Order: sequence, then structure tokens, then C-alpha cells
Amino acid sequence: MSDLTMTPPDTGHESTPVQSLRVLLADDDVATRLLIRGFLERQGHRVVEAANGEDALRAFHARPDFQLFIVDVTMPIMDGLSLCRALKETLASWVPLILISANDQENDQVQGLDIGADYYMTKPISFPLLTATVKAAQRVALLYNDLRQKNAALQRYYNKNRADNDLARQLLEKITRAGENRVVDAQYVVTPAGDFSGDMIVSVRSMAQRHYCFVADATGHGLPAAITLMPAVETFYQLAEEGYALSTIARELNDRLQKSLPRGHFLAATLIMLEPHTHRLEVWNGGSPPAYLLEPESREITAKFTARHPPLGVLAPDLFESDIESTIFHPSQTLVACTDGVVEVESPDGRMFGSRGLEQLLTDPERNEDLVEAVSDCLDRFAGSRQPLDDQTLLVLPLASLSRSSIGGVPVIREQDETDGADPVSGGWYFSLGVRGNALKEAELAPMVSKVLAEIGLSGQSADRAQVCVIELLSNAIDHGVLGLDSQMKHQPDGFEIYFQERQQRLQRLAEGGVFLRASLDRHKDKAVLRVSISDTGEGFEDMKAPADNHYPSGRGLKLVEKLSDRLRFHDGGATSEFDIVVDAVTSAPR
Amino acid sequence: MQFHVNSTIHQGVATLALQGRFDFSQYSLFKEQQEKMLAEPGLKAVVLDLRSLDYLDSAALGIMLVLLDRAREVNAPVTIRNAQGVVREILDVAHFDRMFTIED
Repeated sequence: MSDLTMTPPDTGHESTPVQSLRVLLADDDVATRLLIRGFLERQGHRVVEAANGEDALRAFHARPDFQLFIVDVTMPIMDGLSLCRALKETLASWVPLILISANDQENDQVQGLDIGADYYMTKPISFPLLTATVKAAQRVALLYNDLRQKNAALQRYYNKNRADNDLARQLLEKITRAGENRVVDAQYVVTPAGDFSGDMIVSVRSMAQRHYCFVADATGHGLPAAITLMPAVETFYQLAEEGYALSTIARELNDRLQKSLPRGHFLAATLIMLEPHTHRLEVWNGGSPPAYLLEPESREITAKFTARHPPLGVLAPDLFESDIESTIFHPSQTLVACTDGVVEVESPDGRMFGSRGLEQLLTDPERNEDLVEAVSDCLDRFAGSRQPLDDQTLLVLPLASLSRSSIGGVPVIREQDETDGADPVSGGWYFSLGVRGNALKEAELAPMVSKVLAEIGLSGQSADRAQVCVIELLSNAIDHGVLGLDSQMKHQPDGFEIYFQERQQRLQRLAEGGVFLRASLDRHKDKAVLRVSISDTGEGFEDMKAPADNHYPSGRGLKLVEKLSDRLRFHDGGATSEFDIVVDAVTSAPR
Repeated sequence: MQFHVNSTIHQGVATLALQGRFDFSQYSLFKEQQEKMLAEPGLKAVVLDLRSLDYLDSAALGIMLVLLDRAREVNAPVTIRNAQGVVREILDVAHFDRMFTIED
């Protein structure tokens, strides 16, 4: 009899104690059972005996946590092969099974191994061989269990990852679905890489009929990307709906992201604002591939907006630059913007599609007229068998879809300040002032307005800002609205001279038309808001043609107002302009 | 090519030479080298040598911003050197010259 002791598989830990196995021993021969049992128990194992297959199954079902089966082939009632099959079918994990038999017929061995036995021994049992076999079985069982645990951990991780990814998708779908009715008439495509990888397009039409688009690509994938996008999308919706200047939106997005995101998380973004009545296009591009203004007929790129800024959320507020690029668009043109997933598509031999690839396609006279299709097909061909690593997002916006005819009823001057619903108005002043016909010739409206504003408590820097805004908007209203002057005149040689002569002549002849001003200074808890609306009897901006040098009509004036005020909006298709200036703590009562 | 960071320090200037494709999955490898370099006594400056870098994604840009912040804590300026081809383009698009010194 061998006194070999069981040693555990070589795990590198010398002090690992001998593992005690729970063994099910099925043999109809009592003598063999005694022999094997005695041997195994001396080695520290615990043995449950069964005299036939049925007994064995019963024992197994009563308490299935056996770590080794030793089964004799020939048994009454239920033989070893049937037992073996039944056990292997039931077991959820791998438990070694040694089949023993009185004969060493090759046939029996093959059959036994075929139905799932792991080892085969013949009687009389050789104890050194049994010891070695049990050791081998234990080693495999350990490996198996280790693998199983790792596999389960991996599966758990995978499931969690899938769940996180689904959650990210659902969160963003919810946000964008909520905004579905705000979507302008854009065509776009988002081809997701395997995981949700943080691309998103949202678009909004503001109260004042400005159209805004936000093409964004967040760092990371799945939930981290969603976490970056969520506050950005919310902020964008809020500000765009209110018609804020694009530079203000960019700054607000940056500050908000910079404040809330951990370092290293940011948002590459192209922000777009389109004003149908002035044909003005503004772009702020931070860390995204260029956006293009495209002439679909001639396939010419008429403007290219490359990234002038780092992505949103990178720079501290004092370093952030919100300056935008602007141009005048023509309704026949198409605006194209994308995320880096498009230009970073790789070919099987490792070349990158690049902005150049996209530009070549956009200007290719032979390409498919449907741009979304053209780009998708081209990228598929370029990538060949390579799977996209990143989302590929493309925005195609035919600008004719923004034409003024699509605009419904326009809101006029509202009586209440809707921007501060959470901060009720505690009081305030308002006044209106109008002038019409030939009275416009001698009217000095701006100084009048300043005087009244001073009387009702506006002073210092806010008063100065307000004065400049009033002057600019009044002169726009009179020159363009009432007198119908075209600021394109200014772009001719001697333009300003001609312009002012014409202005004087038209003013002298003026018999009808007028301007109307309404100002309110509403007091809130810790601030006051000045709102001035200026309307004219003209037709708004629509008839103004785009000057060639990329300055929008009367651009400098409006730009100034946009800078000096906290908000500039247009109603009535441009016939009414309205600005807000937030005044810190107006405490002094009117004198 | 496999991503690889080769870090050396010479007269207080730590150089992290990057190789291959730098993306999100390389965070722990990069961070390990970064922290090793930042722990060097007498560290004066950090140089990211991108000569052999083939590609970097936005997550890698983020990782570099984290390095910038960590280096600032020990008053070590970070310089990006030898960025070429697509790597240079990506840095340009992200306007990393606003945050880093970029040298050829």
C-alpha cells in the first residue's frame, strides 16, 4: 500500500494544505469499495459509497457538491456508463470522473471517454496510479475553477459595461428626443462605432427665428461620454432657445463643462447659428474638423471654418476665447459639419481619410448629389474591411430649408420678462416712445431715452452701454427700416459719403413710417434687467442682400450691440430688435 | 505599432518619448511613467517627445492635459516636441498650443 500523500497542484504556495475532496464512489463490489475508500480516507478525502448507478444518483441529488466521481462500469440496475452520462448532463461545472472496469477492453474505454468520463482505470486498481490520477484531476479542476471565476468576472464586467453603454445611449436619446420638435430641417447621419462613443447633433430654432446647431464629440466612450454631453446639451438648448449670441453660448458651455468635468474630459464641438432674415452664418469651432459652406451646383467650397479654439471644457474661463467667425450665406448653399470620426476613418493600409479626403469628395463634380449618401458610401469604400473605431457624424444642412416662408407667427414685444421665471420681478418702470412721419427729421430720440433711463435709476457703465445700444438700434431702424437704405452702399468706393447724402435726401422727403421704442427696467431680488425693444415700420431684414465682403448688413452696429448688451434678439423678421442689459443691484430709488 | 513610453531624465528634464498609437487604453501605462518622472527630485521640466507617435485620440489629449496639471503642481512646464503628420494636425485642431509649448 502506498503512503503517498496528496499534494495540491503546484500553485507556488508551499504551505497550501492537502485539499480534502468529497468523493462519490459507485461500485457493486463491496471489497473494491472498501479498498478504495480506505485508501482515499487515509489521504484525507471523504467518501460516499453507492452500490449501483441509481444509488449514486440519489446520493448525488441529495447533496451534489462532489469533487470527484469514481464509477465502476459494470453495475446492476443502472450501469456505470448510464450513470456517467446522467451525471455529466446534470453537472453545471466540470467535476472529474474516473471510470473503472474489470476489463481493459479498448472498446469500453473509448465508449466511456466518449460519453464524458475523464479518466479510465482497470481493475485491479493500482494505488500509485489512482493517486496520480486524482492529483491530475485536482489540478485540472483547480484550473477549471480558476478559469470559471475569471470568466464569470469578465462576464459580469462585460454585462455591466453593456448596461452602462445602454444607459448612456438611453440618456442621450431621451435628451434629444425631447428636443425633436426643435430640430431644424437638417439631414444628418450618426454611424455609431461598436460602443456609444459620444457623438451628438442637436439643433434648435430660437424664439427670434435663429437656427442653432451643435455638433459635438465627447472624450471617451459610453457613460463618461454621456456625462460630458448631458450638461452641454441642456445648456445649449436653454441658451439657444432664448436666442443668445453664439459667443455667449460657447462661453457658457465652456465654463459649465470646465467647472463640472474632471480634467481630461472635454467636448470637441462646432456651434452654428443661422439667421434666415439676415442670411448671417456664425460658426464657433473648438477642436473639430472644419465645417464648410458649399455651393451645391458648382460644387465649390465658399467658406471653410477650421478649429480656432481648443475643445469646450479645456480652458479656464479667463483664458477662453469666444470669438466667432461669420459670413453671409446664400439660400442655395449647403452647410456641412462633421466630427473627427469622419476624417479619421482609416483605410486597410493605414491611410487616413482626412479633411482633404472630405473636401475632395464635396467638390467632386461626379459624386452622388445626395451628400449624406455620397459621404457614407465613400467612407465605406475607403475603410474597406476595417471597422470604424469612432462614431462618424455628419451634418448636412441645405440652407434653403431655413427660408423665411417656413417661419410661423412671430412673437412681438412681450410684456413680461420670461428669462427670470425663478426670480420674480419685484417692481420696475416702463415707458414707450414713438415718432413718425416728418417728426423723424428733428427727433433726437437717443438722448431722450438716456435721460429717462437716468431718471429711473440707471447709471454708470450700464447707462453708457444702454445708450450705445439704443443709438445703434435706432439708427438701424431709421436707416434701414424706415428709409429703406441698403448698407451695401457703404461698400462702394466713397460708399459712406454716398450713403449719408442719400440718407439726408430721403429723410427730407419722408412723410410716413416711424419708429417705436419700449423700455422697461424690472427689479429682481439682487439685480435689475433693462429691456429695450425698437420696432420700425419697415419690412425687416429680408430684402437686404449679402454684401460681398462677408460683413452682414449694418454688421458693425449690431455686433456692437451684441457685445455691449447681455442679449440681442430680433422679432417680426427683423423689424423689431430687442436687447437686455442686466444691471447689478439697482438699489437707489429714482430721484 | 504597439504603444510604448520611454522615459528618461537628464539634468532635471524628464523626457517621455511616445511610440505607436496613443489612446484611451494606454492610460495606465502612460500614467505610471508620468508619476515616476514627476516623483524625481529636482525635476525642472517635462518634455513629451512625439517623434515616433503614429496617432493619438481625444482621450490621449485628455491624458496629456492631466499630465499638464500634475506637472504644474511641481512647477514643471511641459513642452511637446517633434509632433509630425497626423499627430501634429490633431494637436493643431485641438489648439494645444494654448496650453503647451509646442516645439518642432
